[in-house]
Amino acid sequence: MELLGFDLGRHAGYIIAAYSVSAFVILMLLWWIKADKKQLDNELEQLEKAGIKRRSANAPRR
Amino acid sequence: MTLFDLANPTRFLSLVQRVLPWLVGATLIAFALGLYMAFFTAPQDYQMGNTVRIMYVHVPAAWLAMFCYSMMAASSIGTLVWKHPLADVSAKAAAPIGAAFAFLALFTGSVWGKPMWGTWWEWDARLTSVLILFIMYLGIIALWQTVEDPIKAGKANAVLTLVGAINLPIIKFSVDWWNTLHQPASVFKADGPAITTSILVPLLMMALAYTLLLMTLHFMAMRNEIYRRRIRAMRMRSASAAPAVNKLAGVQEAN
Repeated sequence: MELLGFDLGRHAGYIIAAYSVSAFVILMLLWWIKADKKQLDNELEQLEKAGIKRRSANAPRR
Repeated sequence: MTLFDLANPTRFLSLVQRVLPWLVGATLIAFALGLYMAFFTAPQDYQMGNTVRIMYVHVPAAWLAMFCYSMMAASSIGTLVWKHPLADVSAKAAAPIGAAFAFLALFTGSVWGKPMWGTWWEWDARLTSVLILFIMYLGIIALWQTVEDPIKAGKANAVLTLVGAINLPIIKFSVDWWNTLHQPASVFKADGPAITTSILVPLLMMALAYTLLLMTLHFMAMRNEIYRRRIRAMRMRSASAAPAVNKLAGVQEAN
């Protein structure tokens, strides 16, 4: 079987499955971490808008 | 900057902000080089033909699944012995990433096994011990979700992680201790690698790419976990302040 001009032989399906599932899992992991970050940023922004601050934000600077 | 300077989450966050763009760039370059080598410079194996190319995603995934667990075990010692503020953050952030690598090691091993061994799965020592590693990861993730207090969850997970670390030498030496379909160690051997350089170099490049990817994802996930704990602390402060305000309002109304 040929892919992008490259002959992967008779077991091409197994090779393509290994690489495509690896890429899919890595991209899903990246997407999940980025989506989590976005949600946390929104939550933090909402809390700050509501006037809730971190304890260190109220502490006097030394 | 020492390790103890980084124990401050704010300092760690500023380090992540500075290092992350470089890590992302290095990861992309390493993957581009590794994939080019895997498909265009590495030769076919004389017995396995082109299926040897599955090795370039299978072996690094398996190495990183084990490395990630070792990292979690080291973090667990940091949690239990030194109560390092970032140790359980690191352990929690690493668990889903390690689970993904363990899954990939199992999946790519299975699709490599079918054309080479004639079977998708065999209950032999190496495959079973890696499956146990994957299940351990899932158990650790479940435990993190079960206990709400991150400090208590951190301690419970640290103990579970250290108990599970016994599986790591079993995975490594399973191919020497028991009869198995899986080939014995061919890279990390006392008498040097048993793989020809033209196949070994792309493998090491892909391993470098996976390692950089692990570092990138781990830093990103640790940053998220620090923010999650900040949000939790802010919500708790706000909740504990609320009754006092209400009580004060009640006293003023009574007067």
